Amino acid sequence: MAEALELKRESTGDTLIGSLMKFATSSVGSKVVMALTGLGLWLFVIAHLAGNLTAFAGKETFNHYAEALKGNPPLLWGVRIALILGFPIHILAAINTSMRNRAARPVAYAFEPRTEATAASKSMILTGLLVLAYFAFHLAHFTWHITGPQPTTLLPNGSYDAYSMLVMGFQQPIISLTYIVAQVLLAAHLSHGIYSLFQHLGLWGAKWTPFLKNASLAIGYGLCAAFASIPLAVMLGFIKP
Amino acid sequence: MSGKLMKLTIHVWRQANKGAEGAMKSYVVENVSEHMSFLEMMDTLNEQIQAKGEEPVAFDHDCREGICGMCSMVINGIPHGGHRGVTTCQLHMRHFKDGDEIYVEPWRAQAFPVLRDLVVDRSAFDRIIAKGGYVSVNTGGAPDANALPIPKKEADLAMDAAQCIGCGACVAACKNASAMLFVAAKASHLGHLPQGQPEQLDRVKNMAMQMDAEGFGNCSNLSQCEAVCPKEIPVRVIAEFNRDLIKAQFKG
Ligand code: FES
Repeated sequence: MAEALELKRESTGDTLIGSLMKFATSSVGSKVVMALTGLGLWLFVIAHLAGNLTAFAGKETFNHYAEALKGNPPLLWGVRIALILGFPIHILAAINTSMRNRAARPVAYAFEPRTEATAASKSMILTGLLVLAYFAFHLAHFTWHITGPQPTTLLPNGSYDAYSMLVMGFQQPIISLTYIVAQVLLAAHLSHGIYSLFQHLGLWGAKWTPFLKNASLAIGYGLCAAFASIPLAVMLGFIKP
Repeated sequence: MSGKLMKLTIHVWRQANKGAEGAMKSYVVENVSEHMSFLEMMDTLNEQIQAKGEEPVAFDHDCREGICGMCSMVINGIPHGGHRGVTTCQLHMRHFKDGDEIYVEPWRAQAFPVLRDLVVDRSAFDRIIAKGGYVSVNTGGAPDANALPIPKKEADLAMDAAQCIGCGACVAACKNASAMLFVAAKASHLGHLPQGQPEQLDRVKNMAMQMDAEGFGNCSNLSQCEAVCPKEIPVRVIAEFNRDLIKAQFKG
């Protein structure tokens, strides 16, 4: 078996950045990378939800929010760049760790191991991939406007009618349903991911960690319910065209 | 032995040596007393196998009192059989009933190659310990026992981790065959004591490196390790290990 090298920077001659890069590909390090990007993506989800909920305040408020976002390129592009970097890095780290995990157990048990671990915690890769697939569809519909029903007229002030797009989209049961399913998958992912990221960053506490386990569940499914309330409200007629 | 006698079907992994192909093989074992330990049941099985002129099933064992960590069997999919805080040698046959079928398999991990039947090579753990699972002590007169005050709380935390007997059940239970609970237990045990603190950051760095080099998987925080650990070591030690390792990236 290969002897691992001592990792002191004086002996390897690495710079801080160089040794951090090495750490980022190690087993614990790639999990830290996944935790940090996951934290960023989670914060994005919260901000995104806050924006979406303005739909309940009516057409004017929602469109005003959409315009304000568009009218603030530093914010918009800051978030976009963070996503463009954060998503692939989160996924690369996941690929790295799952390849290592697969190699670590070449022979499976004949008797299916019984565990108390939750289904959500055991299917992070699956829920992650499905959310990713949905994300592409979501962008195509709501950001790039290439699928889904799109409003044909602009607002009087000449800007895009995001509110009508949202309502027209969610009036189609299939679009609403996919959206809600994706939210449930995201909730499952977050219900383990939030707890897990704190553990990977070493933020453990005798009172905090048990609380966090429950909080992850509540936050994950709470976010899901809040997101899903929008298509439901459209379909039930609370959010009107 | 008296008590209720049982007849069981044992499906056990048979493999002649490290390079050989292995397979599950089924045996019927008779006259198993409910007072036997799981290892005594295996001894009984071996007597019956040997009487038929077949090679007995090789398995690791030593103290048979739950303190050495040698016994290592995955019983019906759970390392050490799934009774909290119990090693295979301390598992009683009264938990089984007449006519049961029991699957017995070796620890499964790339880093723990099967040497024969249920015996695996766990020297990967020794190499990890050699990388940092120690404190450097200058020789000389032994210091007074109470010269170094240690708060009770810290001593307790260290003791939680110090209970690790290095059996490897954590690796066997983990869906990723990760050794984090073992490695982190060793680091936490020393890191909570003043004698271990000066070397803690180097320790976690070097142990983590060796852990990766041995081919163990990553921690996914499922706590499957904690659930099977015969010494009930908490996954808290893994969080501590992660924190120390992150700190170590910036300091030296
Ligand atoms: S034989 Fe020593 S712990 Fe089981």
